[in-house]
Amino acid sequence: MNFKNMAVSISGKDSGLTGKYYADSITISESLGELNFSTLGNTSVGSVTATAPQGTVNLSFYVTTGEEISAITGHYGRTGFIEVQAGPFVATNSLLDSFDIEFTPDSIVKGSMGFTYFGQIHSGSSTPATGAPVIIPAHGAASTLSLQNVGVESARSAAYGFSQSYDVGYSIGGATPARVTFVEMTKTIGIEAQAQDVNFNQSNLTGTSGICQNLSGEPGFSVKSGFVEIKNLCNERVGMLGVTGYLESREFSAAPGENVQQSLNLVETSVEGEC
Amino acid sequence: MAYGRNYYPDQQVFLGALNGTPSEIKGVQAFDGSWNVPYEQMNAGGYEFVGTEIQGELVGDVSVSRYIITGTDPITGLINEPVSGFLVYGTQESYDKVFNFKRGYITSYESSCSLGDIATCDFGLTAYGGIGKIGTGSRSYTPIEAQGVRASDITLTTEFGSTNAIQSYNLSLAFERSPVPKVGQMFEPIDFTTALPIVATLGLEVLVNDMELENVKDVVCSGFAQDILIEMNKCGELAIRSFTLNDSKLVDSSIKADIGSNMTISLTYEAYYNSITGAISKIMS
Repeated sequence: MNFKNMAVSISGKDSGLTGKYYADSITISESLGELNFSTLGNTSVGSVTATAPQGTVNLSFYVTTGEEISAITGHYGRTGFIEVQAGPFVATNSLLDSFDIEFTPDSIVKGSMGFTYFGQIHSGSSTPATGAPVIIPAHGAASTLSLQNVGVESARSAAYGFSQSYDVGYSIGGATPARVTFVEMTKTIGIEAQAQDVNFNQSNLTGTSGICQNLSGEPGFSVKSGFVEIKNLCNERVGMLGVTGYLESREFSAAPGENVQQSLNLVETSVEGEC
Repeated sequence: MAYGRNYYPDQQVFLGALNGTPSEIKGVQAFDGSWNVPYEQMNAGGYEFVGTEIQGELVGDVSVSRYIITGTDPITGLINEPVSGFLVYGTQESYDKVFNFKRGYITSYESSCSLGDIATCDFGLTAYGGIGKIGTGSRSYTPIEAQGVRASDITLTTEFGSTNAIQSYNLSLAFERSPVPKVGQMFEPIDFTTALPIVATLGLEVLVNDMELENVKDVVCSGFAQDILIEMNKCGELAIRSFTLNDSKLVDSSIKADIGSNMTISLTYEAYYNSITGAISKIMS
C-alpha cells in the first residue's frame, strides 16, 4: 500500500456533509491511556485501559472546490461525530479540531485540518481511484483579502485559522463517548504586511482612552472584519472565509534589506455551538 | 517556402524607463532573453499525480553585452528605476517581430577589457511585468560615429601600475532587488527592496615586475585600501568614460608562477555604497 491508496474523505454523521480531499500529506496517530496498579503483598503490576484508544488525523490538502471548504465549515460548533477516512483507515467517531489555510502571493493555497477521534481506528481495504484527475488549486496570486476598518491596504500574506474545543465525557460501562459538549471556537485572520501599507491609527489595539470600546468603523478597539475570497488562477471562485472580531495583537519587525514588517491578528471567539 | 534567418543587421535592442519611450542601445554584441515557469508537480493521496500549478514568481531575465563605442551610457540613468524594452527583429531587416520585457530592474552592470580587446559594458535585468511577445516595438535608428575603446585607450591609475603591467580589468556591480509580492496581485509586484550595501568588485590581472603581495595578517586593524581610476580616452585624449573606485578594499590576491609563462598577480578589490544612486555617482561620475 502506498500514497496512491490514501484517498481522503469526511462524512458528518449528523450533518450529512461530505467532502473529498486531494491530500498531499496525511498523519494518523493514536494512543492508549493505561492505568497501572499494584496490590499489597504482590510485586506484579496490573494494567488496564483507562479509556478507549484515542487519536488524531491531520492532513494537508490542495483547496480546489467550495464543497471541500463547506464540508469543514459546516462542522464548526457541531457536536455530531464525523467519519474520517484516509485510504483503508477509518476513524468513525471524529470531531473537527482545527482548520487552517495560508495565502502567500506566489504560492498554491493549501489547507490543513485536524481531527480527534475516539475509539480505535478501523482498517479495511482501499484501491486507488481509477483515472488521474487534473486539479486546479486555489492560488494566493488570485485570492483576495478584504479587510474592513483594519487599515491594511495590501498584505504580503494572510492566514485563516480555526480551532474549537469540546468536553467529551464517558459513562461507566461505556467504551465510546457518552456526551460531547461544545466549549469554544476561535477564528483568526493573521495578516503580514509592510508597515507602510498599514494605517497605524486604524490598526491600534485600543481606543482613545485605552480602555473603552470604540464604535464600529472607528480606529482602535472596535469590531472589524476580514474576508478572504479564495480563487484559482483561472479566476474561478472557490470559496470565502471570514472573521468578525477584534484586533488582538500586532507586531513590528525590521531586518537589513527589508521594509519594516507589521503583523496583525484579527480574532473572533464564540462559545455558541449548535442549538 | 524557404526559411529565412535573423542575423545581426535584423536586430535592435531598445530600453527606457517603464512608462517612457525606449531608445536604441548602441554597441550591442549579444542579447539573451529567457523565462521559465516554476511549476510544482502536485501529488494527492488516492491519485498520485494530479497536475501542475505555478509555485513562484513569473519573471524572466535579460542580459545584454555591449562594446563601449560612445561617450554616454543611457543605462547608468536607468539603474535606479523600473525599465521596459524590447528586442526587435525580422528577416531582411523587416523588424516585424518583437521580444518585450516589462517592469525590469537592472541587476548587474559590468565592464571589462583585456589587452587586444575592445572594452565592454554589459548589463543584466530581471523583468517582473512580463517577458516575451507583449506588444509591438516602435523602432527607430539614429546613426552614430562609433568609437571603439581599445585597451590602449585606457588609463588605469593604481599604486602599482606604473611599474607593473596591468593586463586586464573587470569591474562589476550587483544590484540585488527583491520584489515584495502581495496577496491577489497576480504576479505583478510593484514594491521592491534593494539589498545594501551595493558592492562594486574590480578584478585586475597584473604582469609582475617589482610587485609584492601584502601579508594577509597585516590586514588586521588597517586593511589594504586604495583609490583606483579607470579612464577611457579616445580621439586625442578625449575622455569618453571613467570608473572610479575610491577606498576600495583588497579582498583577494593570488600570485602565479610556472615555467614558460610570465609571473602574474590577480587582485580583487571591493568598494561598498549605501545606495544605488550613491554608487553610480561615485563610480561613474
